[in-house]
Amino acid sequence: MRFTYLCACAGILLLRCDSVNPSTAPKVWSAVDIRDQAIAGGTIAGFSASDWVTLRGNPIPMLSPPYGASPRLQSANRDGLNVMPAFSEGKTAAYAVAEAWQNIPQLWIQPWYRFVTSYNPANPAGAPLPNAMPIVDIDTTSWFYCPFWEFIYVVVPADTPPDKYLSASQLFQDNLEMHRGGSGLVAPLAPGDILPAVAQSDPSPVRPFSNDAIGTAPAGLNIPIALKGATRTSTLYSSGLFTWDSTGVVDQVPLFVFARVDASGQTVPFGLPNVIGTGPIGSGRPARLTGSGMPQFGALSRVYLTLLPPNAGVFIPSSQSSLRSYFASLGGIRVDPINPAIEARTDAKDYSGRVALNSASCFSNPATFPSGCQWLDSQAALEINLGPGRLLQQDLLLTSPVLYFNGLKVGL
Amino acid sequence: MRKLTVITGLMVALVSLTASGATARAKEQPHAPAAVDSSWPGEEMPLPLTVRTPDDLVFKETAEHQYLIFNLLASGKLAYDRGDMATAATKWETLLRVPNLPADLDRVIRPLAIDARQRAGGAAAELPPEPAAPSPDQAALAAVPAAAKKRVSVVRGFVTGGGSLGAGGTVVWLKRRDGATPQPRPSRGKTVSQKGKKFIPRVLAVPVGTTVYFRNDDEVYHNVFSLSHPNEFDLGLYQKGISRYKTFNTAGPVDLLCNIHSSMSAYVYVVDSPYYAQADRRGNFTIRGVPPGKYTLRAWHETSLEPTEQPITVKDDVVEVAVTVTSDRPAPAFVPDKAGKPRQAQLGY
Amino acid sequence: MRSHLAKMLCFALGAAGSSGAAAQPRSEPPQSVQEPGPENPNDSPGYTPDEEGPSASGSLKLHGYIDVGFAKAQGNGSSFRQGDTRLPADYGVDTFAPAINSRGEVASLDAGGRFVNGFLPYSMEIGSRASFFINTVNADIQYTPPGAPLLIFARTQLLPRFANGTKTRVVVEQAFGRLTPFSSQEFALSVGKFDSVFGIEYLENQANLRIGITPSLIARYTTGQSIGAKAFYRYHLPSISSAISINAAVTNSGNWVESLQTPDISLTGVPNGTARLGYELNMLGFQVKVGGSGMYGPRNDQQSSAPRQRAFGVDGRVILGWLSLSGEYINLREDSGAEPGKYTGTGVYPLASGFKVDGFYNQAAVAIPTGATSLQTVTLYARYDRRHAEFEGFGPILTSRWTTGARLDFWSALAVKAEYLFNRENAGAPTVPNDVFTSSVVFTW
Repeated sequence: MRFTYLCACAGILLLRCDSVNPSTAPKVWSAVDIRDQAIAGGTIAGFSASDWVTLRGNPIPMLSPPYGASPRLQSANRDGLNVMPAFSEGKTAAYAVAEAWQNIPQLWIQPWYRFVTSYNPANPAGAPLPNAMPIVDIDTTSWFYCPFWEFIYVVVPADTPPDKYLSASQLFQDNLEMHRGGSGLVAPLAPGDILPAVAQSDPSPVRPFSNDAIGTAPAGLNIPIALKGATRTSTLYSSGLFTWDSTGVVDQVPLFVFARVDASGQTVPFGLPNVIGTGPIGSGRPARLTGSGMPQFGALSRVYLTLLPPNAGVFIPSSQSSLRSYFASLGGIRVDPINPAIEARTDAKDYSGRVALNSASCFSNPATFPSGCQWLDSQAALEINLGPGRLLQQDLLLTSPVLYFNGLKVGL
Repeated sequence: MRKLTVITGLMVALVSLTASGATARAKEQPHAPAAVDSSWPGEEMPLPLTVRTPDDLVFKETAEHQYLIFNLLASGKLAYDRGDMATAATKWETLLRVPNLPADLDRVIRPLAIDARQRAGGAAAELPPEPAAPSPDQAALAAVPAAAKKRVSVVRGFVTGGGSLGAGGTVVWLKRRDGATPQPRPSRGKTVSQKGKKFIPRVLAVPVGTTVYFRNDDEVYHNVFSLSHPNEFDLGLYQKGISRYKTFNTAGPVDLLCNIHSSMSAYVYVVDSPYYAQADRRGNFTIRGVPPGKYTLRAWHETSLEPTEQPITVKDDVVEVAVTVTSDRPAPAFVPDKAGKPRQAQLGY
Repeated sequence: MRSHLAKMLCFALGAAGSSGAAAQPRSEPPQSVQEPGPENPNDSPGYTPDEEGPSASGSLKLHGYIDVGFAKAQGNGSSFRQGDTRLPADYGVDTFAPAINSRGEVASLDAGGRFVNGFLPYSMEIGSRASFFINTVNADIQYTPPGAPLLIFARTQLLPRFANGTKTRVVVEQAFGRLTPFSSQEFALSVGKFDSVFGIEYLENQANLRIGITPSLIARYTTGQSIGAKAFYRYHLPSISSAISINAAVTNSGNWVESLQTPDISLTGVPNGTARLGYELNMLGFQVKVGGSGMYGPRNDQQSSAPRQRAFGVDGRVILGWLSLSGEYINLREDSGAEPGKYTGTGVYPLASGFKVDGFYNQAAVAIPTGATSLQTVTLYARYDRRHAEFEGFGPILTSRWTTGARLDFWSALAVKAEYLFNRENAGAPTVPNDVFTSSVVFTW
């Protein structure tokens, strides 16, 4: 048979062995993959991996020069997912990139099996089986891996050993009663030493530009789970803060990354706070918020490189002179002087890093600031003021759990 | 009847030898006429044979016919020997006018009669025209003694039906209804050729007990087999120039196939009657040598599920029939291989 | 004169003598001899129609069949389990299991709205309802032009479908020309769209050829049609009634069935190669066929030629009188796609995952001839299938099936079949009620 197989191979002498075009091949970048890429100094879809992950003991980019006066180093005992400053719906926000999908069009929600000894629709998790690990059934090696999970409550007898079930196939084999929970969990499969970046000098992660303390995923929320009989770990970011459609497709929103065309013609990000959208381009979908104001969007985002027009300017306080000089040297964006009266505002920090189309006049007139500024700090503003030609969709999806929004710490 | 044939043959030989001798002697010197042997039967007819039945009548007529021929033949010879050319010429000229004179005898006597008349002098007698070359029917009938000629007929007709293939190849045979049908004699030298990845002929009728040879005339290997019970057989694979054979001992249709080439198919129909024929392309057929009687005529075509039957009565020399064959046998969509598994012709294997 | 008379004498003596000559003793003639001449007065030379003689014109043949079915499936007619929310839904089950006809179409593909990624058969969409349906109206046309070693063949199928799942289709399943250039060798070249050359199950692809009704669990990998060129060569070993053959094809696609790949064009520009090396023993009522097959080439469900598929298999068939045994094994591996998108017969899907499968079937059948004109054969059969399959990163599933059935053949033109499929999910796939009772009436013309 091997002979036959070899003959079949040998017969196809005209076959040209195409190498896989790396720019088109689908790929899932887990947290570990991103970290490994950062160690290697590599890129992911044109983005430097170290933009998203700071290795332990290394300077956190957006907390270190030119963004900060002096380097602020990542905690020594874990690697850090950089807290990315952003704006959304005109509010300050922050997120982290936990995973990336290259050339994968969308993600589909997967089941997260939780054991209960009885099921109550009003309180489905009210009777958990003590010490039982949750079960998932898909690994990061599959293109259909998804860190967005739907709770499935599996009813088992109260005396069930907690380690009896370690795979989804066992559940079906035993024909166990199951109930869909209706709520969703953002929980990438990740080791416990890759968490939102926190500087060694800080008690908890902060949002760059505004230094606001953000929601986080404490170590305690990195939990063990069972996957096909093996024990893995997952980092729990949030619950109920994403949506999906009837076919299981997780809703994705655009993540507008301000970019410029450099001297070599490459489109490169400015390194400014990005803008988190709220719905598909052109949909006009309003932000979905929970009753407590938490955003139910943003956890899955698609990158849009966003080219700024020449009259756009960034709000950088004069106290950050090195940062002002840095952006001025990049070109492609104005760094206009800011009226001292504006800088003295108590909410001035919330505007740090925000871009306006009429920065020259807006930043100098305290009487009209901020309402007189044409801010580029929401999806609607970008769609209206820039037009589709400046919004360049990328084949890159991100697990980008929102960690901060409108003054609220987001997360578990 | 056989004895009469022998006698006639011997008579012809005797006459030929005598004639050659007579010619030789004629060139030498005339003979003195020999004395007439009065012990010879006279020329008077009829013969004193008792007739009680129609068969007796037929026999008497046949015997008289033969006797007349013999008498004129011998008396003419005696006259010739004694030099009485005029009498010899008259006897032989009379012989030539006898109805139903065998053509071969005519050919022998005619020149002798002319020769005798020439020797006798006088005007040449007006002789009946020379007989034409006998038709197969006539030859067949001529081979049969005169008395027996009255007892065999030819059954001929045409076949209709056969669907799009036409009626050609239909096998027609007779089975007696008023007695036992004689066993046919096996044919000899029956061959089916495999040429151009076809069997030629496509349909072959043979009597029971016939050995059929299957000769490979192609460059490729061929195989001949049949799954037609109880005549199933397999001749294996053989190459060009080789013949293998199969003797068919049971009546019925035999579908021939080649295990290599699914497009090859043919039929042997084994008949258990000596009275059979195959229709030509137009559907015409002729069955010879059929004694009078009542028969069932059966006809089988390769598209027929079963042979059609119809009763016929044979009493005249020639019996005309019209036969229709059914085309109710569905053509198999797939030709089986030796193991009975269907094959798809377009695959070629 | 003397010689003329001597000839007459000989003729006379001969005519007198022949009828009384004694018959020569009949002895069994040797294998290869000169045949003696005929003497039977009604002896027939046989009949050869003009169409088969030297002046033969081409032959045009039309064949076909109509396959009408009746089936009832358990559950909702699909292999999807309610409550199983893993996605893609078709990665965790055998969607082909509840097959109801010879095309491998299933009773239902209702996944409850869940996302599926194109590992799907076609569906009759009868769900769990008992229903009659027309499976296939098939027409074959075959033409052999005169004087040329050519055969031209086309097979067209009308598939009436009236439900939501699949619309009525007309499929040109095969269309090719076959050339046999050498009169002394059994060698054939075919170009066009033709059957697979992998394994042996493709030989029973059509409803009137298949002993039973439904295809095996591995037929989806081996019995598809593709467009390309094929060469067949058989070398005979007459002394042992055997032959060795090789059948090799270069095609746009592999051998997957139509619903799993688009066979009609090459998306990659690089062909796929398949070959089978076989041995056969052919004796009257006894046949053995064994072979090994291999396949290698691009997946052809996306435009990059880099992702490859490779397979090898073994097959065997034994026929002894009424009994026939057959079996086939396949090991197949597919690389993961090099770009988004997967083109299949049922549509375009987002991603082409890597895939691997091992599977086999064994079948036994007893075909009992009745000797009657109408009901000619009664066949009882049983088959066991087993398939272990895994999509990259999703986890393996193991399914199996027992099939038992009976077939009645009437007049060589009508086959009535009925069978029951006992589908089992052995590991990895959720247990679902997806057994099937199905029947088929096939009219062949």
